[in-house]
Amino acid sequence: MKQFKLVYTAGVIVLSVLLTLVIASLILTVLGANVLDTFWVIFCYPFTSLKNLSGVINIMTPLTIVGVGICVAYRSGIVNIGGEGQMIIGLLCAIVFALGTSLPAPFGLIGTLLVGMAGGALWGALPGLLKARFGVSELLSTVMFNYIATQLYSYCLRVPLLDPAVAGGSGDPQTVKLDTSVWLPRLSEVFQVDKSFRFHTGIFIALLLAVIVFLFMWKTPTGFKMRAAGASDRAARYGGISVSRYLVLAMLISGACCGLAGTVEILGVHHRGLGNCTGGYGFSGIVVALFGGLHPLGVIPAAFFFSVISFGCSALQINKIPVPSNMIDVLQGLVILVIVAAKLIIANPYLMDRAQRRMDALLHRKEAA
Amino acid sequence: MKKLAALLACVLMLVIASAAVAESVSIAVVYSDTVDDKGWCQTMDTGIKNAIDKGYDIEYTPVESVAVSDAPNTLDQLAESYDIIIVHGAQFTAACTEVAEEYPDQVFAIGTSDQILGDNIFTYMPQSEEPGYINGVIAGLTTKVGKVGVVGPTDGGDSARFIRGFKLGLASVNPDCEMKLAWTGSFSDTVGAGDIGKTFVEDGCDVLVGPSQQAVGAIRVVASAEGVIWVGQTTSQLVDFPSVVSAAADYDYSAVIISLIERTGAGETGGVCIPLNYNNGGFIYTFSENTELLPEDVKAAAQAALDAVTAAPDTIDFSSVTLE
Repeated sequence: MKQFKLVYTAGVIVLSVLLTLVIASLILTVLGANVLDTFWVIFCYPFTSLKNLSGVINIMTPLTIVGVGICVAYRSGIVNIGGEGQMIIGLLCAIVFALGTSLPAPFGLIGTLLVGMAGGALWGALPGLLKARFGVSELLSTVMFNYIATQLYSYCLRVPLLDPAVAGGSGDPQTVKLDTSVWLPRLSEVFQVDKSFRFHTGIFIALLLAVIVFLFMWKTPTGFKMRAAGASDRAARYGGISVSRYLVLAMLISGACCGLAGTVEILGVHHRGLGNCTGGYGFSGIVVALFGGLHPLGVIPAAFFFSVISFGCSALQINKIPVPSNMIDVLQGLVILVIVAAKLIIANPYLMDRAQRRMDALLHRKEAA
Repeated sequence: MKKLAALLACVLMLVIASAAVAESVSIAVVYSDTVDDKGWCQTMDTGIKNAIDKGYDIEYTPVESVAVSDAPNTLDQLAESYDIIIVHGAQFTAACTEVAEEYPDQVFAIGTSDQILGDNIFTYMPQSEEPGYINGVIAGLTTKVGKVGVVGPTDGGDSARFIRGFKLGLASVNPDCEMKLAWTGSFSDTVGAGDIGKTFVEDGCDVLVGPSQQAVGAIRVVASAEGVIWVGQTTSQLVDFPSVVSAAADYDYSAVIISLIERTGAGETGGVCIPLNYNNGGFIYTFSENTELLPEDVKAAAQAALDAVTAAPDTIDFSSVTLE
């Protein structure tokens, strides 16, 4: 059985890679691009310099934090599609706090991060409450809360938080730059190392968060109850667990993670409030979480892998690979789709069992012949 | 001997001049969309190609569909690899200024902005109040009911200048004309623009105008209505809807590109705002040949306004205009 599982897993991986290569090669050949060059840029170019690797890590940071938050919700039996809105509200609260206070370093930074988490937690808890108290589908409420958050943020950027420098009509709505004391410093600044280490220290927050959430969910009674409620709410209720309470708690934690992701992105990369600065990480974090097996520690390599692909694809045009930008998104989507599908196929015991039975039948037929 | 020396000097000057134009300049342009978006990005792409057609040797690298969240990474990768990095979109201003601080020897250019952002950043700003003003003159003289509608995207960037210029042009020829204005809140909300256009038409407006590529939604409404005219903002509108578009203005960013190449060639690195106006060839205005849409007297008045604006740039005081 073990031997077959190994062969089955290897077979699915090889087939997926081949399938990706064949489809992508067809697309690239039609577009007139060099297939090998394209794949080299997507998968190898991100590792060719510290500067590029730093770019990958900067993408990985918010993806990891959102992915961890999504894991908490999914594991507790609630689907959080509102990560984007929670990111936005988190970063909005963080910006308001950072602009409105002047705490000395590092208290300003810590306070801003905590306020960002609180904002996201509140925005996440609301759909949790609606689900727990009134049975409102979280699929509906979290998506609607995304819209509300987006428009609220847009209003704040254009009216109360608008940078006076762009108020005259020239430029794009944005807030003033935040004070440098609340910025997340780059690794090169903290440790006085090579300037090529350009990634900000938010990555350490992301990694620490993944470990803390893992310990909380897998090593504490509360985490166990949350996972029990997620695995089977009826059994959990029978066991005396207040499912609705842990549902709200899960969304609170999930929202806090997403709020933190938005805050880290602002404090580490943009240093001010901008339109569309969340980069859709609230949505792509869901795919990362699923790819990471809905496990906080599994999210780390999953986020890294996604970031490499994202960075590599965005570097195609810079490296003069003649692939139109729309087709770059198609390629990226294709690679991710095939890999996620392969992972699901490998994890599905029914499919593996069926494959084994077919293999056995084939072998018996050969022996009989 | 003197004649020979003079001839040699002329030849030498010609050689130097041609070498100056022929010197290759590497330019990377960061776009928010694709270069065939029929609007904002395409105008810059066309501007660069126009500059190449005018004899400038440009090694051009377009980087399309860059999101605001990816802009710092993208600019970081491009820095120190090109003579000029053009960041085409005000939404990238924050990223551009931050990255420019880290690469003081790299020349950046960003638009649209009329601010001075740094010693190594040029800004460029279409003075859209100029085509807006001409459109206002045409609308004011064309309307029969004295009510015109403006389909606005957001009150920012060059659209804000266009609409204020339009209001001034309208008031200059028809002070009693009522100007209706509504915003979609986006530059790409074609459906929203169509809804606003429909509302204006039902409200009795007989002339409509609207900046940004989303306006195509409203033009479709105008095309399906009786007796309503559209005063356009890009020449493609005149081509696509010849039965309703009476005139159209267009950008030619080659004016900015050529200015950038000449300024950097002369050793400038930034700290200057390069305008785009009729005077420097940054705008082109095209009238419809259909006299039912654009009667000869209206065309003559618009041409006179165009000549005046071309002769005296920076004279339309758009900033004093308030929009209700």
